[in-house]
Amino acid sequence: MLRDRFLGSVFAKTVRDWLQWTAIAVITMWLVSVLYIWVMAESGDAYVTMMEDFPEALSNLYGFNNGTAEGLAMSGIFFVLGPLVLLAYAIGLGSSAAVGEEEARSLPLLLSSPLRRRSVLLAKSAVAALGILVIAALTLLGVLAVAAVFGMDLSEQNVLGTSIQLLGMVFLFGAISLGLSAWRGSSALGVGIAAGIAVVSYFVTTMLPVVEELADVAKLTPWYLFSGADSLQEGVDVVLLGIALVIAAALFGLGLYSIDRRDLKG
Amino acid sequence: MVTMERGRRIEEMTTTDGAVPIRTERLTKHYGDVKALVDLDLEVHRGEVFGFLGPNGAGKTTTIRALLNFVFPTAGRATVLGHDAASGSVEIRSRVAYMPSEYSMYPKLTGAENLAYLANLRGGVDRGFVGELAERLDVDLTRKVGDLSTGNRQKVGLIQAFMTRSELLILDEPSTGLDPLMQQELQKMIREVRAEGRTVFLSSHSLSEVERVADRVGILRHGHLIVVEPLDALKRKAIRRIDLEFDEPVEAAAFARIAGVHSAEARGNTVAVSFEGSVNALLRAALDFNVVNVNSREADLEQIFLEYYHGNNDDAP
Repeated sequence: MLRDRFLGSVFAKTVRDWLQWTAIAVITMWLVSVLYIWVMAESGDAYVTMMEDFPEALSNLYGFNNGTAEGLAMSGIFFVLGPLVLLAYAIGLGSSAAVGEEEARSLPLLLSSPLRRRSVLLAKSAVAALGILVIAALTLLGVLAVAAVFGMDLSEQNVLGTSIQLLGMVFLFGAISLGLSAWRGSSALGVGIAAGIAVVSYFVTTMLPVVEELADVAKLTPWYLFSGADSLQEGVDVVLLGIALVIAAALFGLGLYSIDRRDLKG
Repeated sequence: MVTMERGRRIEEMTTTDGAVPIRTERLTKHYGDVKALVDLDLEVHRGEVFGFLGPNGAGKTTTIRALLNFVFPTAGRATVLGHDAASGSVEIRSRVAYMPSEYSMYPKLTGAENLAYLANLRGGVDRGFVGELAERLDVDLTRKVGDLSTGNRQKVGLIQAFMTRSELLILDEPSTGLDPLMQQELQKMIREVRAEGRTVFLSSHSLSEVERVADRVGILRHGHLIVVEPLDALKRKAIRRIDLEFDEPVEAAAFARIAGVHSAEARGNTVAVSFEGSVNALLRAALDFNVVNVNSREADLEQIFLEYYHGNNDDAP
């Protein structure tokens, strides 16, 4: 009966289909977070000393570093692990929302029902967005709980702010993948370009500031909309978050517009 | 009780607005330089089984995809049940059942779950009727679709089309993968749909699939509609064969120049002649010799279709 309930709508079935990916992402985030916090609680000072000896370009790759064990733990979770897991989830499912059924050749049967293409896209996008929020929320709660167990002194407000700032960038990359995939009917294009921009912008944003003349160039990348906020220290940067969400909304709009106006493949 | 409700429902559906099930006007679709469909003018009548024939790549599936708004025409327009194919596609698909030629179901779901999902999205599907169809087509709906054979997956696909009891069924190569017994059952189901006053648009590259059930056929070649005729009319036009047996060998040339004769071939005392039109002139010429036996064979419909397919017919573009 429960299984049948998950077959009542495109939204419900998509929740059912993607539940495993959401669970894998949450468990990954929890396990690695526990590991980070545990290691930093036990041997954080040694890592802080080690990081201080790293060249600036290398330590920048790790993200935020305020010279404390807590800072290193949060940086590992929110600047390395979080983006990695959430971007993979958002880029993968953003593309799948747009063209997953089309490429799997199940779309003709699905659209034999009286559904608009954009309704299918909206339902699947909503599930992807919900999944991202669930992963972020459960990760945040898990991190705060584990940090409390290990006696770490965190600013809950700034950790929450960092999560929100990260969500802005994750929605942006998810929307790049979704918009491009829906526009051209190709997951390879959407995933490839979104993942490519993510990797390049990560390195540009973290490494270019080492060269003084190129430091401003780093501010032009999507990654800067997250890392530029310095949210573990300063909380949410509303302007950068707003820019990320506006661009994400525009790309999502492109996806919605184009999905109803192009030939379906297959 | 259930049967009465079913009958009422079918009656409601078949008398909704009297709109022409399918009409296309100069419907054209190009994919880059490839002209998949050119100036298709077609009208499918209510309550008929229309066979849409053509070799692979002729444009049959493109036509269907344009009717259901899966692709946008390069030129021309189509209406389905009175609705414009582009602007009224949701309304159209609420009243049309469609079975694609190439598709995937959800392999991790069972047949029953696949059908439940599609039934939920459409609404108004009688689950009891789904069970009846599964019994008729002898398919186990409790198995995952990914574990089913091609033929059994095809049966699940057929159930999803027939379970809707739509007023128009668009079936694209529906008998692919079915064994002869199931092909017969499918033909029976199609005839039942017609008997209820509903319409079937049956696309196929196989004449044998179509000729047993279709009222009219349209033949498509290289994107052009070559002919639309009642099946009986096509049969009348078909090339027939007659074997004339004489008491001694006769030259085939004696028959080759007669009007309507396509070919004449002598084998021993027999001359095999293929011809169209009246047989009178042929028989008159035969009577110049001593005829021992005349053996007339049934019209070879396959031949006329092949001629259309290959473009040997005068009407073909």
